[in-house]
Amino acid sequence: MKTEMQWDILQSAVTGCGHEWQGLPCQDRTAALSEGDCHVISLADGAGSARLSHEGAECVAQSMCRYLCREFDRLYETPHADSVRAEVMALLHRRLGALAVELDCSMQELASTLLVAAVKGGRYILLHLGDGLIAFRRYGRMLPASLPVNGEYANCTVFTTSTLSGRDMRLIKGELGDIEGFALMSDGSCASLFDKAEKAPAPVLGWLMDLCTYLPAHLVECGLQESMENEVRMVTEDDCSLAILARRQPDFCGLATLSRAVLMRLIGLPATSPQSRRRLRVYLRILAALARPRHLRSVQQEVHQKRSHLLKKLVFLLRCRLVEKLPDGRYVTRARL
Amino acid sequence: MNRYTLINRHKDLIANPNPRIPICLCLDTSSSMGGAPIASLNSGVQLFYDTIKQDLIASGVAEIAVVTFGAGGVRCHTDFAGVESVPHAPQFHAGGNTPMGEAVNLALDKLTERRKDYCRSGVEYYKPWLILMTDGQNNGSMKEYKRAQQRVADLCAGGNLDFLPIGIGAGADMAGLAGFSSRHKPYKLNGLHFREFFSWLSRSVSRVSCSMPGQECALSALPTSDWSTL
Repeated sequence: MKTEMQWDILQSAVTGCGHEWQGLPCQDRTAALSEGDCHVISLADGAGSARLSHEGAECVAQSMCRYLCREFDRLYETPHADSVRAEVMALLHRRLGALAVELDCSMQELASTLLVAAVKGGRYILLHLGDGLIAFRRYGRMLPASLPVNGEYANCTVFTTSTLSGRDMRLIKGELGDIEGFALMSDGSCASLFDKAEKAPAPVLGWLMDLCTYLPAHLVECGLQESMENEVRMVTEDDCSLAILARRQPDFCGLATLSRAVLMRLIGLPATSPQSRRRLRVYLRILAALARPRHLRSVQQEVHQKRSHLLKKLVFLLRCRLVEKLPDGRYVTRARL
Repeated sequence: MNRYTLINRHKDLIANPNPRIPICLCLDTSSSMGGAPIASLNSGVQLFYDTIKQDLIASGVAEIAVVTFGAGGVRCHTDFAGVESVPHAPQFHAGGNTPMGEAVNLALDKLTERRKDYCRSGVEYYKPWLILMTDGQNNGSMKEYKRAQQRVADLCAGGNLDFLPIGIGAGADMAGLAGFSSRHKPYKLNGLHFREFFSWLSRSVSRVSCSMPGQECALSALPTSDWSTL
């Protein structure tokens, strides 16, 4: 019996240090839409020179999500990619044209790049215009699906409003098979999440996909947002954005079945310390005890920990979002046990 | 206590090299540059290096090579290097003739080689710059001079080179400089204002190094009206 695929979506877009200093808004936008068994993520990076490119990026990201959800089957069955390119460009120019009228600007002021990944019924469609990267995961390994479409020089690329951009649009489709997920990232994120010499996406993208199996996606997304703000955007001047479409592992049987290394990483324990193994067993007992919401005292009795020690461990687990503290003071595990 | 983060900056992020701007200064150090001109040139080039060093972004992006023509013929004084590894500008001495064509060809060869190095090692780069400064006329091989002019014209026409020809003083062959590229008019340096020129040049480097895709880099206001955007 075929197990229906379950998908989770993560998205984050943060303002670059360069834009912050200049008082400019974040020009990167992400969008996502799920309808039935169709799931779409999109990402658009507004052109630096275009005054209202953040508006254009929002427009194209949202438009493409709706369009792919509505037309996935027909587009997938279309044999010639050029006709799909023409149709997509016409749609984008119609939307951007209407927005330009509304905002009283030229279409060029709404320019952005565009990346899209859509899945439905065991198939996928990818679309890429401009820089940034589309990556995918297969057999636990992150691989590039579509490399940046740049000019030769670092500050040149193709935009939605470029005259010949239809020709520069990459379209990829196929059967999902063993593909475990897709990641879209803007040029700013590529600075640290894509090895440009090796042409290899960073393995941590696969870790983010795994987390969607172990934890509810909205909690992973909070952690991702924090990491993008405090880590990823610190190594570049540019805005950074990332959208992930991750397939939940169908054979996952609970946290206790994960390897020690994965559990250590999940809780944020140093892998090599021998005390960590002992601590890990205690953490797993605490997580199991909190399968339903409980107060501190009740958990303390079950796991045989001093109150102060238990509190410290709960702080650890709260920090990595494996546990949540409810408004009534009870704690509950959020990890999928 | 270490802050927990899903993505660890030191373990998970990839340290890609910064995109680079390869800049070649092609400088006339012939005997006519003796005295005050060469002293001003030395001071100006050192200011260029110092200003780039002080700019956090530009210092990691600019790679400077210096080709001179004059004393000792044509030579590559300094191959491409960041200001971190070559913090002090070379010092020049005036003497010899003005084999401008040979010097420009050598500068173009160096820029081509550097682009290939970047491609091989997966380093991104901005459009290369060639800055030619002379106070006289070419008296090297006319064949080399014509070849240099054609190469520069072709590269500029193809959008593959930013070329800045500067004439110094009354004896500079402005018509010859104009023959390198119809897109890049030669500029006359006012007096011996090398420091002002190199200060402006370093500001231009800063602008380009902060530019994002699609961003045009406009130069700040300058004393003459002939300066254009890079």
